[in-house]
Order: sequence, then structure tokens, then C-alpha cells
Amino acid sequence: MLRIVRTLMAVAAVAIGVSACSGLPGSEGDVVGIVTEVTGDLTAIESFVVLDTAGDSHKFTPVDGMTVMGSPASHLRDHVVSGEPVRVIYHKGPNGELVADDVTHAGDSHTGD
Amino acid sequence: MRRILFLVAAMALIAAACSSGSEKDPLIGIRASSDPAVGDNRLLFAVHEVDGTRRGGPDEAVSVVASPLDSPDTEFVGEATFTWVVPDAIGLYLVSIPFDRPGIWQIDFTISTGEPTDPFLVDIQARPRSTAIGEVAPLIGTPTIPATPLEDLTTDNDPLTTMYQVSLDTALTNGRKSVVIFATPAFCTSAACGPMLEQTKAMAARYPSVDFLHIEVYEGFNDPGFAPDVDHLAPAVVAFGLPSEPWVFVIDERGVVIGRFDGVLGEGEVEDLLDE
Repeated sequence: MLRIVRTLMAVAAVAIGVSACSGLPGSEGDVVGIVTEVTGDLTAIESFVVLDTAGDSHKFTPVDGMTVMGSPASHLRDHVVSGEPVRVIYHKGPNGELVADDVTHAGDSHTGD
Repeated sequence: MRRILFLVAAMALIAAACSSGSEKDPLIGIRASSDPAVGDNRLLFAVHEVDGTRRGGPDEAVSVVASPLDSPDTEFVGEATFTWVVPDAIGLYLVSIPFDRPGIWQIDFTISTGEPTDPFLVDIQARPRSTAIGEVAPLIGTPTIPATPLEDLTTDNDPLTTMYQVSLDTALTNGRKSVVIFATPAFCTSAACGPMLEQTKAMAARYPSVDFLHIEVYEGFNDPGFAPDVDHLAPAVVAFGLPSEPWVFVIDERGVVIGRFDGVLGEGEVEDLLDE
């Protein structure tokens, strides 16, 4: 019995480690990095990509009405030009897609530029 | 004990899988052009270290080799020019490449520091989102002085009044060349607005036979409760389908777009078109 419990604990620990690495649908998280791509125009942003400090890219779809420090989501293009990093707060959609809830300038509070 | 060792090893593997990067990561290029399409023949890009640190400057020369992915033997070589977007603060590399076909292009670049670089991809559209070179510019009336107070036409702190005297639709049909800049210095989503407008104003003084117009991206910016949002985009901005700001369009005597530039103006880019 003790052996079974230990085995289950080991499996659970590995599962927790995997979920911490990849995230689970519906879970929330944040990513800090530079904006490398913005798709859309001044009326609406369809998606954007953030390269995190580890060199991994993350593609986000903005939630309806998402702003960037009070500016339209198209402000993200400024970050492509300036290279200023952002922090993206996101959740995972039902299909595992990353949905951006909020974007701030990395290291800033939400009080403005 | 073996189980504990197995567990530790498994966690170490997971940690390794979660992390990446090394001290010898190559530099990466990031496209900054917001609407690249066949005929634009210009590419703006930034150079970064993989951790996000911006690289590049006037002292770091960059050469580019561009080729369509579906035709890798076709190569175009160009020397990129480092161009300040915000003087002494933010800069990008600008290179002229004859993008003669739509599709994915691979951009290989080398930097004079000798550091390794990774190529990056650019999706060249057959037709841009915004008004293209060769198209007739949208005939949209824009407010002018004196019917509209100057302070309601521009957020520029030091406006050049001649840029607000002629409506866009008039400028496009009066038989003169036009330079139209869409920019909003006060509400710019890009730090490039102010510098690009200053460049354009300086050019206006040198080309009295050309109509120079500044059109704000948003309207109603002096109204109570104004927000720089979609509901306040100026009709001309929507008509041109701008994906970003700032933009400069050069339009010939027939009202046809002959040049379009986003983000930054390279030395002589507009002047070359006006001198033709």
C-alpha cells in the first residue's frame, strides 16, 4: 500500500510540474517580453506576438476592448518600434489559445505612460 | 531512495524543458514595417538580443540578403541604414529591397560586430491594407482653417499653418503634388509621430509648389471626455485604411499615390519623389 501511495505521489508531483510549465486551459498567467508582431489596424488588433526573455514566442488574441495603459490596442505597434517590453496578463481559451486580458509596460504600474 | 532520485531527475528535466537560451544566442531581427506589400520596396526592422535587449546604432552596420521562400535562389542584397525614429533614443534599420512578388520572404542579415544572427521572415502582401502605391488616393474632405480653429485641427505644439489651409480632396485634384502626413503628436500610439511631423514640416519650407497636409489621426480631441479610440478616428484615416501611425503619403498631380512611408522617413526618400 505504501508503495502505491509513493508512486501516486511521484506521478502527481510530475503532473504538477508539467502543468506549471505548460499551463492548463482556463488558467491565467503573465508573460514579459518584447512585441515582435502585431496584426490588425487602428480600428482593431487581431493578434500580437510577444518574445519572452527566455526566447520563446507567445501569440495572443486580445480580449474585446483590451487597452494598453488606457490607449487603444494598436499602441502595441509602438512597442515594436521602441522595443520597450510589455507584461501581458492572459488566460487560456477553451482551445488552448492565449487570450490577452491586459497589457502594461513591463515594470510600470497601471497609472499611465 | 531510487524513487526520490527519479523524482528529482524528472523535475530537473521539466525545469530544463521550461527554460531555454544560452550566452551565444544569435541576434534576431524584428520587422517594424506595419503593412509591407509588393511595391513598397522598403523594410524597417529592429535588431534585438534574444532576451529583448535592443541592439543597433549608427556604428553597427547591417547588411541584408532577402529572398522569397519559394524562390531561394533569387536574392536581393542591400545595405541597411540605421535611422533614428526618436533622435538619439530609438532607431531602426531601413533597407531598400525590391519586393517584386507576394509571399513569405526570408531576411538574412549580418552585423559589423560579427555576432551571429538568425534570419527572420516577412509576409509581403500582394495588396496592402492601406492605400497602395499606384492607387488613387481617397477623395475625402478634411476640415481647414479658418472655418475650423487651428487648435481643433492639430495637436502639434508648433503647427505650420499652411498644412491646414487646403482640404485633402482639394489638394488631390488641384494638379499639384501633395505630401500628406497622418500623425497625432499628442495621442500618438507611436513615439515616431512627433519626429516624422517635424521632418515633414521642414520639407514643406523647401517645396512651396507642393501641398503639405497634416491630418490628425483622431477628431474631437478637444471635446470633453475624448478618448483616442476607434470611435474618434478621423474619416480620412479610415478611408486610407491605416494600420498604424504615423504615415506619410506622397501623391502625384493626378491624385495617385507614388510613395508611402510608415514610422520613419529615410534620408531623401520623400525628396526623391518630389524632385522627379
